[in-house]
Amino acid sequence: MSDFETLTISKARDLLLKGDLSAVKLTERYIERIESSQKLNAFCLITAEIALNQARFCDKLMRSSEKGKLCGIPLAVKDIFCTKSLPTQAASKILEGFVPPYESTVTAKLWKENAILLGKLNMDEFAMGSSNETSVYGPAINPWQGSDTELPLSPGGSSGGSAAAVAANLCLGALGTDTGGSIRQPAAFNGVVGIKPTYGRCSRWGIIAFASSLDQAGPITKTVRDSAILLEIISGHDSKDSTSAVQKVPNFESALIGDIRGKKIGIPAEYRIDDTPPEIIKLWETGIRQLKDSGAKIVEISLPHTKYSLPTYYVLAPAEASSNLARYDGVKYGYRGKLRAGEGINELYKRTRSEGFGDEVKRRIMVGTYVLSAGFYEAYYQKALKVRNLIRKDFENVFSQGINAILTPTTPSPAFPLSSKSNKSPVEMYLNDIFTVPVNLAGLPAISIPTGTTDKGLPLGLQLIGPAWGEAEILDIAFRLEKESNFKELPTNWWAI
Amino acid sequence: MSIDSDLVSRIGDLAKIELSKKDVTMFSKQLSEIVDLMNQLEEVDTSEVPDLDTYPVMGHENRPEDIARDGDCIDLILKNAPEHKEGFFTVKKVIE
Repeated sequence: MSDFETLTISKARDLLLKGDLSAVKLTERYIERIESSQKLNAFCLITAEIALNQARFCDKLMRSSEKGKLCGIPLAVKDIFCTKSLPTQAASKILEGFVPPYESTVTAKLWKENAILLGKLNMDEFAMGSSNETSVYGPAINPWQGSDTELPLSPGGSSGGSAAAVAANLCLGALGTDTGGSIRQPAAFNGVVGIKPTYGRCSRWGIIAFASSLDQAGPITKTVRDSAILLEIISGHDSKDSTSAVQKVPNFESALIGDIRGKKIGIPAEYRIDDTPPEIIKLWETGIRQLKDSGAKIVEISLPHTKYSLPTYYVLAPAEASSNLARYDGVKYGYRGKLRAGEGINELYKRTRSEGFGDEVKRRIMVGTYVLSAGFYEAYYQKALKVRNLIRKDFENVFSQGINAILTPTTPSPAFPLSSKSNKSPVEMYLNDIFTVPVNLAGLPAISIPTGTTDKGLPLGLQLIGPAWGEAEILDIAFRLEKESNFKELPTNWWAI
Repeated sequence: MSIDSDLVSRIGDLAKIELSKKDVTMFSKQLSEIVDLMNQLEEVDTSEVPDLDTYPVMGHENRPEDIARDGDCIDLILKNAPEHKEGFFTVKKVIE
């Protein structure tokens, strides 16, 4: 396997089908790689034995018509997906010891297609964070390093472990979740592809909830094609999730043609914010030129309520989180605080929650409790719901005028050193999400693809936003942009022992 | 707007989170900054805007009817409980 570093799901699928590669050999290679990459802290659980058993089964199945579409493909999933009989704790102390007796719908769909589970991936606690530093396991490390710094870089968040694992080739692809950019921002920071599907495209059943009107699962992969392959498998209505939609799932892989002549690409004026670094502006301009040279029509557009996306998000997401996380009380599962003599149920709840949650989670629960409390509900929560409606309408207006996709940078900066922002104000960390949260508020699909690097050699990503249920089209445009930008850089393997 | 120590303590009580004096000082400062960010929403005229629909995107109209299933899985539910007895979660006595 001389081309192991650049192996993709689609290439491995072909090699496995032809019999040029065995699932066991491939899985062994990945387990070896994961075990020698512990410096990256990308995995919080390695399921080597399960993976090898699945691989042996796949090798037997490979020549049969019974085999699934991902037969023999080694993947890993964020610690937020409940996996039957395997520890799942969303990187939180409060879920210490929790072993779900059930499997999330999206991961069950992967195993049904005979994908192989290598393990669970690190993340920010309850997916609340943009740097991976809120994880109870300690942060995952970005496999990329700047040329001028020895400081480890953040892999982004919250699906930082997923993006770092794919970038470091510790698995062929991964699942993450995206509530305000948690797939796209880490994908951009790690030089990989990540797609957040339309709200309701994939089932949320069995995914530990953060903000239920915003959360969506999606793939993180090395290529657009691989994202198309995984997205098709995890999509579809699920009777166990009433917010999953009855929508036909297109064959996303066959939509990858790359002919974008005549497509209208919107460039939103409001995303040109004052302090965007010149290298991000340059990346964006290069992307615009590449799409134009490929025959697309570039159209200046306006999304006037963009600047209110962050305050809207930071009212609504904490409000939903405070409600969702009320279930962690030390009674039903997970961590339970110790009581002193004479203390009762109220102290049990409070001690459990104060010892079990990290500071960022507590902060968001408290913000959510505040905006939902009597006297503040109308001023904050209800107001934010109305502004969310305006943000959604901005996008609807643009797409109803025939725009096929919107192109923006994914992040306002490249990956930053770990701990460089955590000591500052939480609001400063929230600014990381400025280009990604509007998409979640509007429920739309968006993909981040790596298209260039900074002067110091760190990857940067561009984001394509589509209309609701328009994943096939943004995947196709991203496929073209991937070809034009020809991003081939890989991180140097500094972490291997 | 400033979120003072008393308000932080009250929010902590509502959210069932025990806060030390140090926590109260830290969260008071941080929550004030977050509320300043949220206050930007005051600039938007929403007098004519309805609340958001149940779903953020169209396409959820054909919802199949919910079907009730009998769980019958008490043992599985209790498996993860820190303490349980005779089919129930165990907690400190609530009613005197």
